[in-house]
Amino acid sequence: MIRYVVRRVIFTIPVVFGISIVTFILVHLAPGTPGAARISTSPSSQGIDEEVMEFSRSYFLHLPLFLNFNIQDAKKDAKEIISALKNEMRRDWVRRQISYRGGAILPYIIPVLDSLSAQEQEVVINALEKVGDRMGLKDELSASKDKVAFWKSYWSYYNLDYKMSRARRLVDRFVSYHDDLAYKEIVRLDTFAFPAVFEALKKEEKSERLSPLLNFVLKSLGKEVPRDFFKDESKYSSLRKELLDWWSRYEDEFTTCDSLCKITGVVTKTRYFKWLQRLSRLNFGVSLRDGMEINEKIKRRLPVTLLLSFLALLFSYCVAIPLGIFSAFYANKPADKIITLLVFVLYSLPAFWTGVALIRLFCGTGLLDIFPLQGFSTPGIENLPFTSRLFDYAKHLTLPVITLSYVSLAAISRYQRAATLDVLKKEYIKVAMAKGLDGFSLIRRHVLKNSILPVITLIGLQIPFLIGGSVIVERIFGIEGMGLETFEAIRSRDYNWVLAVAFITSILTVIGMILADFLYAIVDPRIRREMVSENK
Amino acid sequence: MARKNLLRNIIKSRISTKIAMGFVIFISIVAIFADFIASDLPILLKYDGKIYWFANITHPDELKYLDNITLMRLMVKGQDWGIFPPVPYSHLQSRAGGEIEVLGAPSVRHIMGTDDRGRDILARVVHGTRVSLGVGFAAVLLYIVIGVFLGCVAGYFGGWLDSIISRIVETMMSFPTFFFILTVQGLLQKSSILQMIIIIALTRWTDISRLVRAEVLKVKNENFVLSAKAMGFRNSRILFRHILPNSMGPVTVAAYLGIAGTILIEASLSFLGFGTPPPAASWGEMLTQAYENPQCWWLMVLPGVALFGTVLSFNIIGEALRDSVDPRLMYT
Repeated sequence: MIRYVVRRVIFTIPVVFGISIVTFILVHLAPGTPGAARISTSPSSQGIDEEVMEFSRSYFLHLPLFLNFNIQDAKKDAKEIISALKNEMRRDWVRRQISYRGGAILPYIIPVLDSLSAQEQEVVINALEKVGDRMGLKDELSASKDKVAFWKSYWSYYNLDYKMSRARRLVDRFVSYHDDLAYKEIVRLDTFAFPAVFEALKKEEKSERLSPLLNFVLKSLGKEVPRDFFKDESKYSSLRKELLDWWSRYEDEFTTCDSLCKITGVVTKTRYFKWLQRLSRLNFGVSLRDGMEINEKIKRRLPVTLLLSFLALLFSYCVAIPLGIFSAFYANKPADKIITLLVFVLYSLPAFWTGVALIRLFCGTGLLDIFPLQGFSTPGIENLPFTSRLFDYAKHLTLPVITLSYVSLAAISRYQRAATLDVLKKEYIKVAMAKGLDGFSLIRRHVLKNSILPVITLIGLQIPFLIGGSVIVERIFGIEGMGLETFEAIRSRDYNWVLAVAFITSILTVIGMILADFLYAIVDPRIRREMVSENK
Repeated sequence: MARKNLLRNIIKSRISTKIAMGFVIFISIVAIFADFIASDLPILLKYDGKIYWFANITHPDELKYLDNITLMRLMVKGQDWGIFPPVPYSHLQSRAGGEIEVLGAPSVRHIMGTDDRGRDILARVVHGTRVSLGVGFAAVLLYIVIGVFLGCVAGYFGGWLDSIISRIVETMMSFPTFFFILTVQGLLQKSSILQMIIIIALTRWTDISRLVRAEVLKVKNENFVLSAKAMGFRNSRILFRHILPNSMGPVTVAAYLGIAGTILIEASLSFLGFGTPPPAASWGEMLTQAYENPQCWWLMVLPGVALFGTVLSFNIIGEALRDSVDPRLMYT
């Protein structure tokens, strides 16, 4: 059995890989502006453009698809910024870029200061003023007359400090010994120290010592520092998460790629790889609709849909199997013909039409007022005793479960009928009948056990169907599950949610199919033996 | 032709299949002649000393602001005449002699009532057949072509080609079909009927390809294939002239059942508002109105019955074909 399980799981690996590729392709259907995100964004574009940029950035649309031979890093960006200086129209943009990138591009800007014209130099110096402020050089800067000379002399003194290994050592020293001197030096490195700082941040979950570092990061980015964030644990952790998320997206703007990273970067610094990385961490980002964490939302919504699907599956099997056996026993007699027709009618009724009709009939507006109109439960029932709460849930879920299940019910009963007919032809049934077994025992001992096997495998096929149907059912009955949320998300263009759900539902389907296969293999030993021997 | 006789036998054998066939033919005729059944201009008109042929299709500029009801009022007896369509309303416009009746109950004027913009329900259902059948036939045709081709290639050549195609099929099958189509439709923002057809076809070809692959594997080593190979025929000739005709039975069954499924998908998409773009008439979209206005029963009945009848008919025909082609197919 274990060998069978292992084999089956190994076979799904290419499928999961395929799913990741398909969802990755789906990302590109969403309206983002690939390529527009990085350098060429015009300075005036704000508002909607910024949202689009944020979105495209979070899906790494600025990176090439599968292979990256032209790795963009801080060094390359610095060159681009310098060359953009020649264009007078873009000087404002250059100024903002330099003060934003800060220390990370200093090693590439100061050495080329001499080659610039006086006018261009002024732009750079102007921009560096802000950086100097952050680095704690304010007094020295304002004291010096020739700013270019100041930066050049600064560089000749400190250029050896701008090494990644040193930045790492400094952060390490600060985190372990709380060395104030190290902190000062980190501040002087400015954004150059970011990779080291974020590495430390990633490693340590919660540390009092990290809070000055967070402070430093926020200040260097020119963001406002929330007051007392390190005392409030939830505030701290959300801030930490937000920053790490930001870093995963904007890392390349502050790091310089060494030769090793240039080789691995061909694969790792691509859109697909980053997408895989995000998926493997189950990080789906934030819902664009209400700013809630997608994982949180899924945690809340998924159980509802799973419960609904499970009940529907249970209901359809419980009804369909007796129905199928019954109509097989009376094959081609009037009872069977009526059931067959009924099953066909059920199979062809559109679920949304039935749902609307059921609401009309049973929910007050029409003939009867038995069931509540909308929702999963009556609000405020948490305090009621268990039985009445259960009754309330049952009342709310009856119609949705019926609507969701009757199509699968029809299909399953047909399969059960065919399987039973097949079994009834067998010799052992005739023997059992000849020895005088009564109908019930015959069904229980011989017919059911042998005919149910092919029907069990259908569970796997029902799952995608139920997930698809849940969108319609939840929409009609106003049940707040994955389906309704997806419907609303598509309406309000919440791509993060839509993409996350596309991935999750397909993975759920794969898992469901594997489980159905296991079930099959458990009840029928022939299957697992065949599977193992076939692939030897 | 053995298969033709087979089909004739099925139709003869069961009343339900006969009725289903009849309904499909009826609904196809309605779809083809929708403009002649429901339109806001007459088919043939003599008005103001001029004869207009097929004004219901051409919509001449002179009659821009006129419609059937107004025309009937304006026409001079003995001088003007016209052949009017049985349903004198278009599926897009609500003006009927200048009056708009919003959410009107069935009456002499509008036999099946009007919707929330005063459009005639019957006219919209008539024109909705075009969308439903059109999407159904086109998408199924497209995905059968894709599925048959890939299935043949995978089954016949085997090897790495087979494993790649099989992996793709498995991947596509693990996406919940309707959910996937909905997602893509939602991501693309703009929706058109052609786009919907392509998306449905691209997600649903996998069943056909699996079916065809299995059939091809079955007959691949039969003697007639081997002798065809021995004669030195090209692979394509062996595949499409010798192997493929053997597997067309199951494909035909799948096609009929597929049309039913596709029509349902289109209607469901339109019901959720991501399918046929307005103002085109679609049964699903009409049922959305029924959901939003539960007090108006007439919004629900006719589109529902049309949709249900069409889907049921295709299912019945498909099932009858399946029983005759291969009773054992029930298990796959």
